[in-house]
Amino acid sequence: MKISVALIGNPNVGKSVVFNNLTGLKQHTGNWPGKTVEMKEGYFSYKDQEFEVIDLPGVYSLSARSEDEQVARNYLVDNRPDVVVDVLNASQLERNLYLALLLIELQVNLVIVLNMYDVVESRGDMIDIDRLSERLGVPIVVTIATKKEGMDELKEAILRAVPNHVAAKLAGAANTTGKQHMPGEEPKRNHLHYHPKLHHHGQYERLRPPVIKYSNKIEKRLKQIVMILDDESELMERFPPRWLALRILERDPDILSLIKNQELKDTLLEVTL
Amino acid sequence: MKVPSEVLDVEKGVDPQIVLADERYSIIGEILCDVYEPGQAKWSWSDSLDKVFLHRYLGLPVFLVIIWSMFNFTFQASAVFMAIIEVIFEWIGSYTSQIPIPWLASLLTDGVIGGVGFILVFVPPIMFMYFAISILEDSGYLARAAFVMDRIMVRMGLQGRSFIPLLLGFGCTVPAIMAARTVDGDSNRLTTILVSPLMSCAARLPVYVLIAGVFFPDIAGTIVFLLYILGIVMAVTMALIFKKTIFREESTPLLMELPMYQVPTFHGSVIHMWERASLFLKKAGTYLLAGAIILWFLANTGPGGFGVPVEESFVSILGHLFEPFFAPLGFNWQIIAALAFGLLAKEVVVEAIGIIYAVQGEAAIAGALALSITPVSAIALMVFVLLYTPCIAVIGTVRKETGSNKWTAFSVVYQIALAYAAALVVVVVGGLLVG
Amino acid sequence: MDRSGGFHSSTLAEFKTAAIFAALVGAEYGILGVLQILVGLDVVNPNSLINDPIGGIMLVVVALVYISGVRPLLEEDQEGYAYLAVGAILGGILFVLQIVILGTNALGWWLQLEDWREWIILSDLTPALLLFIPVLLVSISMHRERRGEKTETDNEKGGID
Repeated sequence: MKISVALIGNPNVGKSVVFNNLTGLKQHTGNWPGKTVEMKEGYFSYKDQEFEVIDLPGVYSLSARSEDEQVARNYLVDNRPDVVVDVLNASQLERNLYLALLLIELQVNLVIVLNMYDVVESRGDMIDIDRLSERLGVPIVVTIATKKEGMDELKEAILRAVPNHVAAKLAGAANTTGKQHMPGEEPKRNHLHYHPKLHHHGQYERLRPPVIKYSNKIEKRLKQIVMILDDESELMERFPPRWLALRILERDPDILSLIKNQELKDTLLEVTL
Repeated sequence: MKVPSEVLDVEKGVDPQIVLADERYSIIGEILCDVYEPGQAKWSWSDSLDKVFLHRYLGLPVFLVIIWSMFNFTFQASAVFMAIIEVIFEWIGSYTSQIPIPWLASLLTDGVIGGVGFILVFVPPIMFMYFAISILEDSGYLARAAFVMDRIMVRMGLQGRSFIPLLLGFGCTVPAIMAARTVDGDSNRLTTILVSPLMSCAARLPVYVLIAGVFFPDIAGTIVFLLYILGIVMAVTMALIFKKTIFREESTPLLMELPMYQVPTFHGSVIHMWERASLFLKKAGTYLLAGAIILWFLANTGPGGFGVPVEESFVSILGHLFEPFFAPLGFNWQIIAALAFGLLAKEVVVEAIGIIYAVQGEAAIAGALALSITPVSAIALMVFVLLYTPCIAVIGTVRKETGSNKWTAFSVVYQIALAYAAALVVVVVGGLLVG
Repeated sequence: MDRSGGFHSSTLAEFKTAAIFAALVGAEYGILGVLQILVGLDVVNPNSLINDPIGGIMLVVVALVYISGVRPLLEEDQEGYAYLAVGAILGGILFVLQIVILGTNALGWWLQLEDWREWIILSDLTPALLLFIPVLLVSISMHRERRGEKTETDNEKGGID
């Protein structure tokens, strides 16, 4: 089985150059059913491990307001790739980190690429990479994709970011079924970071709590929402709970339209900032 | 997307989306304070070049200089390569016409070489144009061009975002209409779909190149440039008219990232150019070849059977049918028939002219054309080709994107009416000027 | 904008030189552009080989860009250099375009193709071609001079030109 990797980033950050560097000629363009958005798919192998890379459209956020954002968000939510690589333009960190924060909210296995690092250096700017990585709780790789610099480091980081249960399965240790997490097994208070959806590697996924937390006021509301949703197994199995709570707090129309029970919806909408 | 009113916290007056976005940005700000230290060199060329390229008054003239250069490059620099390809096909034609089986000789010489071979003459300008567009895109200027145009469009009360589909329309109208999905609001989107076909697509280029080359050889590049400008002006004007009459909706400003300026690579531009050329060649090898054979057949068959002279063929009947309608524009039946076939694809206009006049080589066709219409009518013809319905594929895409037969029919009818009216204006004004 | 920043702190004299250069080049492009328009409209010298009034308008635009740069340069604003750069880019585009056209025409003449038999090189030596040569020479010499003094700052400039 291949490790699935999704490549995402703002437009004009050199994402497709990174993609081409990773996959070389092993790629093809696919039109997604019913969509005008094109996504490229490619393969590479590193340390005897096969990787399958998907190049998601360039987006600034995941609000699902444009078709590009919708495609990217649905892919991440529904397919839960093993590793998500967010390519950032290192010379425009402030704007590019916004998407990174949204991906952290999604609790995916994230690797951040600071691309176009040569621009940062030529401007004489200084970025404390280790500290940034620590603050975000995400491994960071520095690259200059146009010069093919940092690509091996990126592959290594992707490999390291592969979650343990996937790695174990790939290593052939199939006898882990006994220790598999089952829905409802965890105590309620941990629900915020527990994603019971059947992962495509045949196991349930345990989400790591994100390092970045919002203000107490917001986090309290999120817990409140998750408590209310506790019995909605269909929703809770489909989306990471904290992310779901954030979207409800944000009044995301797509997510709200999935809640059919009007009474429940009203209760949820009472939770406001 | 419309948000149901229950979703918003109207009474509290806070949009939770904004609260969360602020939260995220404050976290980003705090992290950046911690890890990021700006360097001393803040004066960047990219920013200061934008001061000029996006200048309030200079921006537009600078844009025109660049686009004009692009068209001159497309036309003038490719002319010699067109002539070389033409010589090659003339040479092949001199052999195929010697084939002892008359119908096969005619099919190959008049149909395939007269049609497809003639179309292939236009591969160089298409390649050159895509080379130029690719350079503009890679350098980062194309995004600025959208920005410069946006300012004008917003000033005219149009939505700036429509400019991106319109810009794509220079390549091909089909993706342009599809890109109208990115435009906010149904009426804005519909307006964009309706006016995108007025932007001159690459398929129309061969027609201009042929006609302008015959009638205005010295200033052909400029004539083609003016046609493209006319297309833009017409698109903007019609959009404005639609906005004032059929639709009314507020427009929102364009939010767009301007990529950094880069020196475009020759390699990248060549790849892009080759991609486009191979697409065109594929089209020439399939649709245009089939079209050429059908056209050849129709031009050689009539009520009297196969092998009749072209004047008695079905093509001639078709042309004569519409002759009274086009008489004020000074088009003869050959051109009318070519325009009718041009609904299949605009390149077919050129192909059809090649087959119907049944003469070899651009020089011979040039002579035949120059004899059959006046220079004023030639301009009217180019304007007509610019504005009338591009092709069947576009009609299909409009139908698919609007989901409405009514709007599709409206799109076709208004474009033909507009093309006719504009061509008539050219003939009348031109007639007055020439005397 | 940090004028004293690391890019290039021009001295008063340098700004003055640049302003004079911009004014001179602007005037050159402007005069020849207007002349080309008049020739194209057959107002003057109707038998000229060069008949391209719209090309003349393009030269006038280049002139406008240069002349717009004079004021910021006199006010010692770094931004003024951007006008010089854009003027040079536009002039350069028109120059390269004319070189390419000249080259392809020469190819046609060499192959003795029908429409090129009577081509002569003089008809392609347009103002757009000739005007850029001094700009190019001055730019190169200025570039060299600056590189000698401030290597670091010129790396950035070299990337754009």
